[in-house]
Amino acid sequence: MSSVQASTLDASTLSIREQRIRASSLFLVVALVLALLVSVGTGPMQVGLLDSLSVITAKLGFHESNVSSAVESIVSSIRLPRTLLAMLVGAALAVCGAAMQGLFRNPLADPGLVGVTGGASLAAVSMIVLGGTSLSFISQLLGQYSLMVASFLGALVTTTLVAKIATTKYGTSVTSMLLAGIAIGIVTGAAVGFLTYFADDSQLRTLTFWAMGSVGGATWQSVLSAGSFIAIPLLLIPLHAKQLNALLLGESEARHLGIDVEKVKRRLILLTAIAVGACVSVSGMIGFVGLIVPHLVRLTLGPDHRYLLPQSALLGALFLLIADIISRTIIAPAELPIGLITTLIGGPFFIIMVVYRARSNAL
Amino acid sequence: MSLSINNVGLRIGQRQLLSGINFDLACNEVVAVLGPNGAGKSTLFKVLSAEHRHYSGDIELHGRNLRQWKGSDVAKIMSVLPQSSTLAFPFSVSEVVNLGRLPHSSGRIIDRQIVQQAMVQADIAHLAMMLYTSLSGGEKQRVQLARVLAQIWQPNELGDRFLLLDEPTSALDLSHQHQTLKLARNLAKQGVGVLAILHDLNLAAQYADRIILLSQGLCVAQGSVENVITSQQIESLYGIKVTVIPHPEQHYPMVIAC
Amino acid sequence: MKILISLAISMLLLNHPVVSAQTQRIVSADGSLTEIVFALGREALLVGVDTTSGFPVQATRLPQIGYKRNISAEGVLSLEPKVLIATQDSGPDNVLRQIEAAGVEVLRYSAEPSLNAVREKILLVAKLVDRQAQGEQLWQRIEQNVVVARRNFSPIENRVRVLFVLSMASGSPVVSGTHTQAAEMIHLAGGVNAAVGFTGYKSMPIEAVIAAQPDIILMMDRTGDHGSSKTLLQGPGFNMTPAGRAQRLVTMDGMKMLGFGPRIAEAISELGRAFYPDKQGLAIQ
Repeated sequence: MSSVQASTLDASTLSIREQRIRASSLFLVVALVLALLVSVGTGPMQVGLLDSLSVITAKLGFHESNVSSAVESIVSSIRLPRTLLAMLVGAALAVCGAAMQGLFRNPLADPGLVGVTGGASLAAVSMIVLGGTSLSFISQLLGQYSLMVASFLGALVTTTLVAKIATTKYGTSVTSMLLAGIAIGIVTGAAVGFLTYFADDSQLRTLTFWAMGSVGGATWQSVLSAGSFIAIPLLLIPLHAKQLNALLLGESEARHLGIDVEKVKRRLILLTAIAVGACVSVSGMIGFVGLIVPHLVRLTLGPDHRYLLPQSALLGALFLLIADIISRTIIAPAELPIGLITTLIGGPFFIIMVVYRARSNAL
Repeated sequence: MSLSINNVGLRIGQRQLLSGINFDLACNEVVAVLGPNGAGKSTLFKVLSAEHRHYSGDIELHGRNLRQWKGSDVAKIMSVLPQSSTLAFPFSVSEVVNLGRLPHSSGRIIDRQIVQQAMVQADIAHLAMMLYTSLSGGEKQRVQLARVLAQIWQPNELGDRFLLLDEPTSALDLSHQHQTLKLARNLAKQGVGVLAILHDLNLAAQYADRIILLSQGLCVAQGSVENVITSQQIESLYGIKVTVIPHPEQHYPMVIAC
Repeated sequence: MKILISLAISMLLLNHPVVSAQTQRIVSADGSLTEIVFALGREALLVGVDTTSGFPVQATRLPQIGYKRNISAEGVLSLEPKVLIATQDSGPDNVLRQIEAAGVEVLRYSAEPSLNAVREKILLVAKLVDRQAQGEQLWQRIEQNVVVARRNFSPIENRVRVLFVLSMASGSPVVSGTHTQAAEMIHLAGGVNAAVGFTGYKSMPIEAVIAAQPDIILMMDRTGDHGSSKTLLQGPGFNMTPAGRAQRLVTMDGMKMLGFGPRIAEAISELGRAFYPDKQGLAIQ
């Protein structure tokens, strides 16, 4: 094939890819805005979409508020924070999932593999079960934030432990990290089981709901505090897109391309731990977002992290927001845990992924 | 300028993988590294490409100790073709080749041109839009070759360029094997220093300027092709009886097992 | 209906075993049953209790067999009891079967959140410990007090809307829907469960809590509870409920309020007074 023909093909197909990316971005942004409107317009109190919109625009300063203070409260203190938290957590989990898959060079990798979920679980369960007894000093100190802070610290501690175990003077081995993460996960799981044994009825119920996730506890305070821990990784991880692309080739290859592999690995692990730890602390355990969302983006747009990461953020936000809308409407007035919904969608999807990969021997 | 390896040794745990390795690679020659399995060829490469840092001795790139070079600078003038690649993500072929341009900030248009030319050189331009994961072993190896070519395509002010090839012909068919090594010779003519690990003695003899023979971490012979490829050397290194005769037309030594 | 229930309980009574003075060892796997044994003055027969048996305080000094839903077979058997008294929700079932297979008589009483269950428990336990007359008296007294309490605090209109919150710790508050002990107590004390439309304890989004417009938030009294109850009413959402605006939070010891044991009349009375503070009414005996 002549080089001229080849390059024409190249140029035109590239722009098809670019067209797809642009179309996807547009679609996701529009869908996100719509979902946001549905989310703030939906709820058991008689506050419809128009009222919600006018509260938002009034808050933004476009005009004076023309709704009752009750309506304003509902929209701005309850629906808006919840909506924003769902979007934030969804985006963070998706981006961290994509980053971990790049780091481990495996599409089935999950942020939980590096010990984040195990540590957060153990800390949260300890807080729930022992918060009235041996850990009461913490709950007295931190009040209703004790669970949040505990989860976050637990996540950070185990991630650091896993990273330390997997790091020798020769560098951080991704395989060792995987194994260490699994080991820590088993140990924390056992510890959680142990603590669960001592839990009474109401504590067990709290545990169950924590383990299945909820963004219902969103307040502006929690959104801002969790948000600040989530925003920084959310902004910084996509800056490592090129390095992640190179890492997919292999660590030696990435090094030969001039990338400081150790630094990139450490940074990604740390940023992921911070973001996911914050998410778990504020909304409990929500699974599968980090697995499904990047995979869907890869299927339609390809594995290049330069668009994989931002698109995953958008799709993750949309996905979790829709899941949250479902969670609070499907058995109203009660709430179905959001983690249950993401698992119901994600579980079968995950199985299909595994079967497909096993069949094509690509595991 | 050159790549100078001075008394380099590497010890991991109890094992001495390399010791007392001395040679220079100039930027207009093809040097082949040969030796039986476990001789330390790949280890030497890992030391040269800064994968093992705890080596004894010194390596100088253009007169400056390699340890003092920034990784991103080295990447601008040295590229390494790995023995095998484990890329499992559905990048297109041109995207993979484009990864080679990472160390440079030359802009999309120039990158695209270089990628195109590199793909032509490696005879994979017709595969540009295919998914890397769907290719055969040989095709994948040629894509990687295009990538490492793209990485050092343009001359750079930091110095002359080097290309390290780790068994570049292992998965290739006969015609592509020769194509690749002819490419190496052309690069040497253009001022790139090429160091290649080869397992085929005859290919090495045909295309290399100099040969380095390694055995058990030591350099047992070094020099021109005629001086190194002798039946005594081959027999003592590989333990089989061979006859060495000159090629009827090209006159480089050919090794034939008895 | 009442006649049918009385008949049923009589049948149970006829067949119910009696512990003689020689066979004096009873283990209790439920706090309300423990309370009944103490109320009948037969605590000497108790050789072991579960973790929900916190009242009276002497009960806590007895050997432990574990949490009522997760008792230890060996723990029970090591105390060499003749009888294990439990409720339908004690467990796990296979452990109870193990204990039974080891020769211990396992008696399970109703765990229904109802006054009938209280009656059944008192009368049957009284027969077991050979104090039937005292049992009858105990029940009569409790029944009377309940009637009195309810008469005082059962208005026909303007019933307070009460929301029982189990915990605030994880996301949306976990509240009691219908068919729970909490729901029944709210009803007995003259209130109305603000949370309807679902059964059991479930998460309820804070906006739904506001929509439910509870006048009172009811919680269990716990030290270091998950989500300090003090700050609860000031939290967003709760401050938009009548309960939040009037700062009406009622707490009570968990076992007393939800145990459906001998203190139920007291519990109903106290709750009633908390729900309707301007109706003091007659004191109970």
